[in-house]
Amino acid sequence: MNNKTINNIVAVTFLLIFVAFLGVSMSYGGRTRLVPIPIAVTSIILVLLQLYYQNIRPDVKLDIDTSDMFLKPIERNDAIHGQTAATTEVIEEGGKESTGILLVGSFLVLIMLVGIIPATFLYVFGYCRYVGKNKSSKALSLAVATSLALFLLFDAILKVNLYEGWLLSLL
Amino acid sequence: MLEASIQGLVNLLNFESIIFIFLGVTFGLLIGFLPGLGGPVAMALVLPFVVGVPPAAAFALLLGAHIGTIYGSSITSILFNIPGASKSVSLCFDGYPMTQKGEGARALGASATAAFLGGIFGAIFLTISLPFMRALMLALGPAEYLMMAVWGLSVIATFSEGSVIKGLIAAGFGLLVSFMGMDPVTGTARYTFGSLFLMDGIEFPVAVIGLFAVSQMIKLYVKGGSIAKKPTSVDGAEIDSKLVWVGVKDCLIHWKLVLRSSFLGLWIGILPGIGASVGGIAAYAQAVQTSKNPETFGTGNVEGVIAPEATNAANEGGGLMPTLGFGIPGGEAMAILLSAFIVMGIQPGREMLTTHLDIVFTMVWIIILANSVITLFGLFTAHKLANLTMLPGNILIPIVLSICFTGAYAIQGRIGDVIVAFIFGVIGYIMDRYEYSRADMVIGMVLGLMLERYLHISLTLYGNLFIVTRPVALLLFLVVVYTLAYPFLRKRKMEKANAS
Repeated sequence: MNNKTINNIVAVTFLLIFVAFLGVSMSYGGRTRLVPIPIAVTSIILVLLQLYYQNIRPDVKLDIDTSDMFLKPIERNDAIHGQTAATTEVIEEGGKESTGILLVGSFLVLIMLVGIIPATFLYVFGYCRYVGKNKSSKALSLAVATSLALFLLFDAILKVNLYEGWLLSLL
Repeated sequence: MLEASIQGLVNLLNFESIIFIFLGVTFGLLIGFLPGLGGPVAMALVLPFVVGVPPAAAFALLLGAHIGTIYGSSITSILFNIPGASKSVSLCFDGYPMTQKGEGARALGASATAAFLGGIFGAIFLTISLPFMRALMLALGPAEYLMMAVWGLSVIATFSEGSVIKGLIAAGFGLLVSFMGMDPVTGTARYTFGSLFLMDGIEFPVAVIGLFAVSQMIKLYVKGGSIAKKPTSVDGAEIDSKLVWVGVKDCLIHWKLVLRSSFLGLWIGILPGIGASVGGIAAYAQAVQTSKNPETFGTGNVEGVIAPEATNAANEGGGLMPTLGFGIPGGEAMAILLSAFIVMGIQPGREMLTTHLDIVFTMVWIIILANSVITLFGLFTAHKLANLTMLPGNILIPIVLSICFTGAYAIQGRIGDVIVAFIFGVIGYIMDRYEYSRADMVIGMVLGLMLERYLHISLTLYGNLFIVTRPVALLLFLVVVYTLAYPFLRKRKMEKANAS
């Protein structure tokens, strides 16, 4: 899937979200929907503009000045807003996006199952050892240090009752 | 005025107060470094310790903790692109790119110095402006606050990095997300889909943790390596610690920017609620407008760090005015300060700005001293802190995620917030990947409810034509129009320059 297609998918997703907000807002009273509806409508118009520029007028650069939205853009060597980081960076040692999201998601699932501190220990050890390919001793010491620090800071000092996990609550 | 200022300083010159400033700042820095927690948390935690303590020492502890969290949040904004508070969002725009270029120590040095100078200039301006502030505060009402919120959104349109349309879409998304939960005006549950969890809406710190911290870690995994490489040489010599002093020198070179930003921060700070959120963005916008190299903003221009930091430092002094003068807290942190007043038997009100002016100046001096302590901390630890960004991602990622998810849980003690942080992390990653500004979304979230509340109050109090019937609101509306027209005016200026 090329970049343009994915950009379109993202824009359409935003469009659907704004349409959903608009649709749900219709069921509210006058004062309740006074502000959300104009914002949703404006956002829908903006997304449609975005889709227009992406597909019908791809010659127009999307990182444009507000004035360029309505006037003909003039040639200039430097962008007014500064260059944003390139969307395709050279990946040195990185991984796939889906894997990255999955790794974070797995940490969330672990927290929900066993609680924050045990999950932290397991995740830090597992990540450092198997994803980072660090030595077991280093991974273990990082895991112990992190979970201990979090326990001391949040539980002991800040007196936050940390989540104990669904599995523990079954016992 | 001078006598009150001197008396305020004398109140502070005792061992207990000085120690409490150090303790408060240290504690605040630690809390500020942790995502999700912030000034209100730090102050709430130290509040029990002020009972039975002399007022000067009590305020030293409270305000020291609050100021400490602001700089702690600045550190994470600059080094990790994770703003701990809404006022630190603007530091990400240029602070993080500086870190990525290996100039993190320089950014921290500039930030620390700007905080020090901003605090001092803010205090000086405050002293001079005090007689006018009361009149200004009385002239401002809900209609004017509404216009300030609209101005904050118009600044997004003008100074959004990358595509303006995408920036506005992100802001619109943020505004709509802010409306989730109970409508404060009508009491209707909006966009909750029957969920009790969503009745309270999306917690702002949780969303920020997800949008910036979690998404940043996903991005780091995808990119590989570390956040920053070893800093490139400065003036031909690779000495990391020298970069800190380059940052200090930057502040002195851009002293006019520091002055302007401090003045801006002070006057915006007197607006309750709005000041904290809009101040940093307004400062960034004026830095872009007045810079000789506006095109370099967003790529690691040190001016983009100096301006917001100086404004944030001066902001605190301004924020004291509505809190002490009218008993209207400027934000959550000031609300806790107000409760401390009640505990100590001090009544905010007219007398604070007249007969008890020395107490006000005690707090101003605390802000100056706390900023001084922070500057020392910043200057001597910046190069060490910057080294954190050179840790390999496979070590940094699990540790930062652990801190983030724990912080997200600690806000309200709900596991649902951790899930929300994850969801916003994915949203934030996609937004960043396809150049929809997360900062604009955050600004939309902050200003959304404020905008709605003040609109309803304005319509109720002043009718539908309140913009026209309220002169100050009309003036601010014209400022909004000017801000939106600025790109067109700039374009015309460029066309004329090209033609000649």
